[in-house]
Amino acid sequence: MKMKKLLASAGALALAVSMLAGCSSSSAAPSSSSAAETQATEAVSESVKEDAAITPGGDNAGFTETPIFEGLTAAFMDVNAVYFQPVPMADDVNPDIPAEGYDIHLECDVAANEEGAKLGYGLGDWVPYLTIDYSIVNAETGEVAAEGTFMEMSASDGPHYGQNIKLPESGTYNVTFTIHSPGENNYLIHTDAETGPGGRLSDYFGDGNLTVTYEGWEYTVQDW
Amino acid sequence: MLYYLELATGVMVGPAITVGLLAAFIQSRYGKKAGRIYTVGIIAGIVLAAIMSYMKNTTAKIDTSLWNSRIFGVGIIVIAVFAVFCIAGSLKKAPKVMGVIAAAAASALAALLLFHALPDVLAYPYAAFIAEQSTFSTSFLLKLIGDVLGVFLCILCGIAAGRLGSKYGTKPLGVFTFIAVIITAVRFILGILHVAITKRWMASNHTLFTLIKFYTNKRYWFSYALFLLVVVMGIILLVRSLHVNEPYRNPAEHRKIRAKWLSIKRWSVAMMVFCGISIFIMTAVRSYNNRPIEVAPIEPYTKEEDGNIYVSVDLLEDGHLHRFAITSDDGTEIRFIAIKKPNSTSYGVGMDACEICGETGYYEKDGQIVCKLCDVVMNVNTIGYPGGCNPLVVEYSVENGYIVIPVEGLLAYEKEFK
Repeated sequence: MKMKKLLASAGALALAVSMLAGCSSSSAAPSSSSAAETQATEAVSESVKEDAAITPGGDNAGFTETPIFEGLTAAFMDVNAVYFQPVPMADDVNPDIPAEGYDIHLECDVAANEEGAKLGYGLGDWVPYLTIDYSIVNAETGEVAAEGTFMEMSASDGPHYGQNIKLPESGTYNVTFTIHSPGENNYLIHTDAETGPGGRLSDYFGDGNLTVTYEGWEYTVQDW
Repeated sequence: MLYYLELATGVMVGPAITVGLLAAFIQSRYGKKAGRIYTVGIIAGIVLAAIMSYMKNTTAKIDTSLWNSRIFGVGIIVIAVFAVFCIAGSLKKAPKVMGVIAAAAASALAALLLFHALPDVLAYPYAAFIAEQSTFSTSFLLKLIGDVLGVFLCILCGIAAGRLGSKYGTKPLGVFTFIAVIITAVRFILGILHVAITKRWMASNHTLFTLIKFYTNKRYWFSYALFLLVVVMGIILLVRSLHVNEPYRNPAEHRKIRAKWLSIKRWSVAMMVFCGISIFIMTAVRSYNNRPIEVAPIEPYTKEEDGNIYVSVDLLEDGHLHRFAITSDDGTEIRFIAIKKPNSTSYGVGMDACEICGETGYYEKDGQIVCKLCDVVMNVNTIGYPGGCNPLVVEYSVENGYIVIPVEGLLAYEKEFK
């Protein structure tokens, strides 16, 4: 009887310990693709694909980006949106902006496309000095679930526009990013024939801000 | 404090009740030795949770969703083993080893429940510490107290569920325990689906998404179902206690019976009280925690003289955020804020607007100043310095008990408020 008790105890412990030590990796298979609707005040093309969650930095299993949309085009920029766990951040004046109380870290990646060469950006370059507003609207109720302005920051996978936000309810949402001209933040473009890239910001922002909208984001609250 | 009280209670109370009921059932069905096996599971769960909590907060190697899927997956297998060997073990001439295996499965289930629920609860003080940057601040201590109180309440719920269960016979207790285990199994299955869809291991569709949406938005319902279960258990016993008619042979036996039913009554009432408190925390306190933001109203400044605005420092002595405004010639309201910095004789003065979010303004929450638009928490000591989401800087001086701000300096930001 003692032996049975010992075996049972050992079994229960081994089961639990094996979970901590034994499970090393998971397989993540891309599975679905869906169409996305986009609305833009400027040239915005439809080109959305959804991939499996991405783990930047390989071994950093705690940092898995979940895509919201990828490859939406706003004039000279390709715009991607992902989210992951809320993260603490810091700048020179705020040494620790806590992640406490937030549900996700929403990230907007803006990379120059081929059109970006007209403003001097290399293909795939991160586009700095943008002010990007985000708006997340519940597709079923029409209520604004979250809105605000991204801040510029760097993570281990590079610079991006991001923000910790509160989004405590699972649901279907429409996501809109409004991109302001970098000129608003005093970003300049050379205009002379010798050193200028050829284009001007007003070529793209002359009629106002660029807007990228992704409709039908099926979001579920996650345990981080 | 209330935020952490709700978090800890919401996460822990369901598992605590299930672990308590399982403990009573294992003890009742298989005896004290099986109870010891079960205790090993509880200890293992707590130890593993502590390790997980440490790993989550100090390394980037833990993908919580992935771990949850492992816990839920193993949990479903363990529940199946528990059910099979429990039922098979109750058959006539069933070998005793079946009971041992059932007890071991229950022990593993308890370990998994704690392993899943406890890491976050153990990590909340760390998160609160990160937010406060000091273990000595009142705010941190209050948050810590909230977390500890939540855990304490959950432990009480677990103990009460176990004690209540022990007042029943093995068969009815078995039925109640199985209901709790089935609720847990449903939660595990939905939890696995949730992770599988989030991680795109499987394609989602409308039905699955609706199911997962329900699961994630109504997580407390699993705890409510368990509350209902244990409250029903308590009510049944309370009703029975009104019609006690057990035979006794002598006064001593009579006293023993009366003491037994008094204990039953007390545990029944205690269970209901604990459930009531938990439900209050998970509903009313939660609602309070998520209440809409209240922005401090615009106050009149002390005086305006010689092109300067004067704000008496006495107004700021309370350490709270104060909002003031002037109106420009064309009617634009230009707002500015002032606050006395904590543990300091200096003041933070700035516009009620920032470079990034414009004139959206700031509000005070739990002693912190937060940007209303982007929710970024300001370090009060850095108000007055430029950068990030800090308030736009305005020139000011402190003279003879007044904060003195040139009107020109305020008017310079007029366009921010248009």
